[in-house]
Amino acid sequence: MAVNTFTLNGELVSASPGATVLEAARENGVEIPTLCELEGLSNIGACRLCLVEIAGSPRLQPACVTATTEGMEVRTDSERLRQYRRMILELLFAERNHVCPVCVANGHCELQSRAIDNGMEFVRFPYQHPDLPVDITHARFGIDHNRCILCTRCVRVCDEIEGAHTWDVAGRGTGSRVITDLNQPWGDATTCTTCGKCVEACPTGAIFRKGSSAGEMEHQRDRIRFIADARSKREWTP
Amino acid sequence: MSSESNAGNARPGRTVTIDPVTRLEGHAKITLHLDNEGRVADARFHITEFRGFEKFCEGRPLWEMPGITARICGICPVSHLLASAKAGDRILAVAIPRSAEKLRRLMNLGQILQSHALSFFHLSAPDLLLGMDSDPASRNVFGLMNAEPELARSGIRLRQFGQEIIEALGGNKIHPSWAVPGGVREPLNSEAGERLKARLPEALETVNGALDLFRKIASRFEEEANALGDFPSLFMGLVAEDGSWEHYDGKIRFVDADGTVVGDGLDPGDYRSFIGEATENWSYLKFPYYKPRGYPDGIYRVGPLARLNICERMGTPRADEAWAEFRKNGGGRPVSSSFHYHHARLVEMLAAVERIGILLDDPELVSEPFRAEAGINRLTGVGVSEAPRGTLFHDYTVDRHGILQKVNLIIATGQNNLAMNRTVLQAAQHYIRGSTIPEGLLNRIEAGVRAFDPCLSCSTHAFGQMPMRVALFGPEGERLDERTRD
Amino acid sequence: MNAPATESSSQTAGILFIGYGNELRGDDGAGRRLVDRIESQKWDNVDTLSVGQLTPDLAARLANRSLVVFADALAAPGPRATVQVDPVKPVSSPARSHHCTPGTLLALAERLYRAAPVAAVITIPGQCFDWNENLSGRASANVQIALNAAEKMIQAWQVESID
Repeated sequence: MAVNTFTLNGELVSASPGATVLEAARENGVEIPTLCELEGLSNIGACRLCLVEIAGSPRLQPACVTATTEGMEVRTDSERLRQYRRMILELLFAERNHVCPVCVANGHCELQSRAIDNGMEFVRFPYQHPDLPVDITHARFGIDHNRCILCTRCVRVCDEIEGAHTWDVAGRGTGSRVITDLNQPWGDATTCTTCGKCVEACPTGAIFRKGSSAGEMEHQRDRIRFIADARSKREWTP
Repeated sequence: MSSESNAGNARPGRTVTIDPVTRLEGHAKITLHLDNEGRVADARFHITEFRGFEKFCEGRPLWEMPGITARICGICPVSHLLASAKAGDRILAVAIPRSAEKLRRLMNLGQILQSHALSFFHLSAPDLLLGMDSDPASRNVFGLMNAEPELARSGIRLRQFGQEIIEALGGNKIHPSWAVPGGVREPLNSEAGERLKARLPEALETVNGALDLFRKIASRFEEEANALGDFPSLFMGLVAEDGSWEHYDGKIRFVDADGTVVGDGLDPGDYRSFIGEATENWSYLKFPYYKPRGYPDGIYRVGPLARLNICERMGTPRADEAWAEFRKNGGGRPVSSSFHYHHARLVEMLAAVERIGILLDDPELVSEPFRAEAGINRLTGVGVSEAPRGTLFHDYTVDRHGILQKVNLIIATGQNNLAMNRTVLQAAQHYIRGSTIPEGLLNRIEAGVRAFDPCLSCSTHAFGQMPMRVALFGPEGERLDERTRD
Repeated sequence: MNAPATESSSQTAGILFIGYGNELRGDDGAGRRLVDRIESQKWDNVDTLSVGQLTPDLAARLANRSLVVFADALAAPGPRATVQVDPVKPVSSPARSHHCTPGTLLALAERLYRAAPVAAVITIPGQCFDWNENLSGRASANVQIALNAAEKMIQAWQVESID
């Protein structure tokens, strides 16, 4: 089988054709931080956390949607990248109201973990303190927009795996929000099958099982990959 | 926070302002109003209020409230945790599992123990053991340590024991909300249970030692007992179905100064029907009163003194004896002097230690389930618990999905507000002669307020500090005298 | 339980950081944020304690420590106030309430447990003390400055201890 050979952080590595930089890096044991990416779902490059440097390109490229090419030179870690990643995380924290100590996902939150892993020391940007609602009209689940980072994993899992497409994004810029059906309360969204895949996919405490108190919301994010594999590859072993 | 706070008041006469200098906008200051004859006519004890916090909670899901409210106060987090979870129980309309109730009780006993230990051994004991007229420079916990170092150390260990109970149940900071609407999240693990049991004998010994000490010195304080908030008032608190001491559940009882039960079997959930909340233009704080008696005649006290005055027994052998001895101070009627709050705290510590021992041996403590599951079945719910300082109410209104629409908290220190004013007034009337401020008065006011162990740390940690600034104003508002104590 | 006291595992280490303040009052929690950060970075030989306020019983936790560093927020700072590190000496003045100062706590530890650690307090100027769980921009920047200061202090301390 033909492979692409390229340079990853100064070392020659190979990748299967069509593999993204992110996939090739993982195959070679190199970690690139991600947030909007979830195995089993399509990639959209929304969060920009996986930005990498590619020799010859003045712009940073998101590893999750950049295909490997023969002879490319990729750098996944540099002071410049670390700075950008920290800035992205700071902006995410400043944009909405993330209050870790009382959050249902405290200790099980990907945003929190990325902030720690990437040495996000403080937030340079003014907190926006937007006034956002919590929707717990659904019988079993709730969405707290204060904690949403607009990664759209919920939108993709609902569309691509469940096939219901209950979730979508409305609004522009800082006014963007995930919505259910035609921007109706979740409890009134007739397309929702109550499958709970969006709950498992959510990286933060934004989508949660109702009744959760602080730190109780553990997402089983690998369930999404399991279902995707079961469907596409007819494999049922986790 | 200015000493001229009375400037807008047209009252003739002088004003003595005892003004704790705190670093934030909240404050607790004491003002005394003198009439033209130089007699103390009125006393006002000002405390910061809670409004901001209540607004802060609105819009949150019900299930998150225990975790949020437990963070109001570093001194009595458990009281808020339990009152909040109980308000949630009511909104879910569930009877929580028996094991969960017992576990919550265990935690509340740990809380009462740690809070009373701090109050008695470190705040009150210096006044009591060293005498209230001793030099303030040494009449403090340091003077106490020089005189009784082992007492101070055992007090610390007792407080740690209470804290350990709380931490054994509630865990570390990853899980601030151990009690949840419907029950609790985790039982006590058996290893922690054994560790706590092993510490019981020492705790008992410490409390008994403190009671012995108190007996020895109590006679020295007859003047204080008479001048420190000895006035008729109602007493309010929870009482168990069988009339014994209660700290977690039960019904509300009001007893008057003669010991007559004037209100009994009252559902805490109906508190609005029997507790009124008056407002005064000079204070942000509400003034709760017993409705049938009107305002301000419906003045009532809550906390250890009240709980011991309304109950018929403690319910455990050693505490029952100590309670009977305590009640002798009242000579057949409720004990009316606020000075006896100190004694009441000791009796409650004894009851707490005994009850902790009983609970730790209870097999039901570890029998599942620990949490009832339910949805929103009512739109309002009132949770109540006996905090170390008195009855605490959390009153929530939610929408049909469980989002908080309205939050009302009635805290113990607020309910004792009127009584603290009376206590300060009484001390001032007893000790003020002329237009200067005697050092002894400051000591008495401080001790008078301290008897209630008011917790002013609810808003920021700085509120606990009470350095005092005392200013004396003439009839025209001119400053005659000023004293500061850090 | 969040509110009473949370302490990292080891009891025997020589250095203790105590952050105190109310995290629900915005920048008042800056001292606690600092020790949370130290705790998450797992500094060698350093224990941390995060509390709502300093209470007398904490004196027992000072026993056997060689260095104790308090971290507190500074409310109503002047516009040019900066993060400050000051030595703390035992202060035998009255503890009149539930709240101790670093100095009184130190004096308690000295008298009751013969503990005589070197002590310092880091004050972190804040800006907003309203009901709010986030730090203001100024306070978060100051927490970072305080973290650097603490790191340098610990390095210097450990070098000195070896000598």
